[in-house]
Amino acid sequence: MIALVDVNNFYVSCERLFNPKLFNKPVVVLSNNDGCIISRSNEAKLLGIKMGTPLFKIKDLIKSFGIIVLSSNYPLYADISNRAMILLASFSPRQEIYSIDECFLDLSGNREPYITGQIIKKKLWQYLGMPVCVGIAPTKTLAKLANYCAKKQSEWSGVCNFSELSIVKIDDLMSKINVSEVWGVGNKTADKLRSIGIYSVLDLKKSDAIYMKKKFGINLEKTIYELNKTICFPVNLKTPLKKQVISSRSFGYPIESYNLLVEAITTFTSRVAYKSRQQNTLAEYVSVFISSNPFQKKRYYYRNNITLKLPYPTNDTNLILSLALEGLRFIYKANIKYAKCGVVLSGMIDESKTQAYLWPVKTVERSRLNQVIDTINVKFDKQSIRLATQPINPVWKMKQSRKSQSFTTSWQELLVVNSVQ
Amino acid sequence: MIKNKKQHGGLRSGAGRRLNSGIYGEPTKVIRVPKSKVFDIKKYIIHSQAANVFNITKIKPSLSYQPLNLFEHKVSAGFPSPADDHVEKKLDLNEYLIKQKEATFFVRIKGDSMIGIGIHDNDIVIVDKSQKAITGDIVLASIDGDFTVKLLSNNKSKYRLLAANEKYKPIEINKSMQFEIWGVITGSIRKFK
Repeated sequence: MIALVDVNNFYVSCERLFNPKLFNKPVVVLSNNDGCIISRSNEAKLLGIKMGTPLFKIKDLIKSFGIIVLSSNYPLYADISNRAMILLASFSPRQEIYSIDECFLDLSGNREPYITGQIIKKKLWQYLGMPVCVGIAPTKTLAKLANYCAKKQSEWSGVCNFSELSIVKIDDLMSKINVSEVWGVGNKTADKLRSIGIYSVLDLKKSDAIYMKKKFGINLEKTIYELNKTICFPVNLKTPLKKQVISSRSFGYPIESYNLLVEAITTFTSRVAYKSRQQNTLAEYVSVFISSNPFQKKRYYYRNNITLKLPYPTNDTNLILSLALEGLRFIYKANIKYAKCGVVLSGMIDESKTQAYLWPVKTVERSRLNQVIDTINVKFDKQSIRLATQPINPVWKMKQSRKSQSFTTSWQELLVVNSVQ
Repeated sequence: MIKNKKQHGGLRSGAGRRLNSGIYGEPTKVIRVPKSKVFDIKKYIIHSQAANVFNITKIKPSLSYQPLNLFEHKVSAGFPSPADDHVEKKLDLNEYLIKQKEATFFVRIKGDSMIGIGIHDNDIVIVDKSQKAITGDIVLASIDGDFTVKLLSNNKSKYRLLAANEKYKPIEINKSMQFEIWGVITGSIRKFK
């Protein structure tokens, strides 16, 4: 048996933990730079607010219903997520952390999976104030689907165990769920499936796997087997190496100047190089992208990106930056109001498994230098030592006008309770 | 055949790694060391090479602590310390103050309403959310969306929140209030310097 546990409206739930006033009210959390809606409370969902809606499109709705709008507070969400994952790991030695707010637990050998599901739900609420739903089924794809059912059907009180339901009942449920809800079936695939008469999950389950493999590829074939209780995607215990490391931000306000873009690219390059060093990987490629605001229809929309091969796999800030800036020079166009830029490292390889480079390079000295810088920055302040083109307080800093405090990660920002009240 | 053999194999001058081309830049030697110390020794070597002027210790970015040894002595060549066998474990304030670390939060207190039990203005209290509150506990509770820290007591199956200061009256919890006990306060921290 495999269980999928996920936190309902995770970002909103984290905000509610430290602000009880947000209960029973429509609350939304915005993406970086206060752009789009990325988490909604149930009350906000009922008002018809869709995931990914840009904030400016629902200004009126916000006013008339008093919707509470918050900037995203990732330090808080990451800390709560870590705590939740550690608590969940106590229910099974085999846990796959699938995203910031969900994980698979291998419950094989567990004789009372439904009761375990109830305990999980209770424990996460009591310990962390996180409301969760649990889907239990023989395969990951079915567990995802069971979780979907647990959310939609209040009668199961947040835990749905497919193995306790009859085949007829499961088929009945599947016939009512849109095929696009199946794990791994994207919108494009769902459209194609509809064109050949597959509308519901049940239709997909009963389709001919071998024929579908020819038409849609091996992953859909595996999905069909999984819907028929054959495990094709085992619970993956090792977190796979991140194949890409990205750092990108929208700017607080549009910038035209090349020098400001250099500042931003330097900042993001430092970040990706640091991330890559933290996970002990080296990158083979660096990409840079810049773009203007796609929502401003009156203006010319420009975006471009470039990928450069690094001379050898590396995580050295300076080397990566020299190429990133070369790339920027290449794709930069004057007289454009840029709204966003970013740096991506790809072709990541394990640091310990690198091949020796034919021509001697001073990688050892560089990596020691980076190590010293990282250590100092951890000990004192994030940006004690930085490259000269990286500003401390950038003018293009993103807008986060409605961010809550870092309640759990900063001594300066603890929850303050006035005992007089 | 024999002639051929002589031409193949054997030493070739100039082949192989160059002397002192390793990462340390000098000859190295294989030694036996305790497994648990391998990391420290490597770190020492790297650091002593990287920069003799820096004394670097890596600390974790999270809410971390430096555990203190019960007894620590310098390693010296010669006679082994007779105290080595008696080093037991490191004292860890986290272990002393925190039972369930995933459910523990820190909260800063303002005001003097709990001064009678030793919670002063600006103290940081430790809140364990995993514990079920019982009468007599100091709790962090929310009443109609506002947090407060009080002593939990009850009066005829009704909750009451008591301050530890005569200046403040008890709060009777009734059904019209939105009341929730957020967590139990298990300790407080005050720094003097």
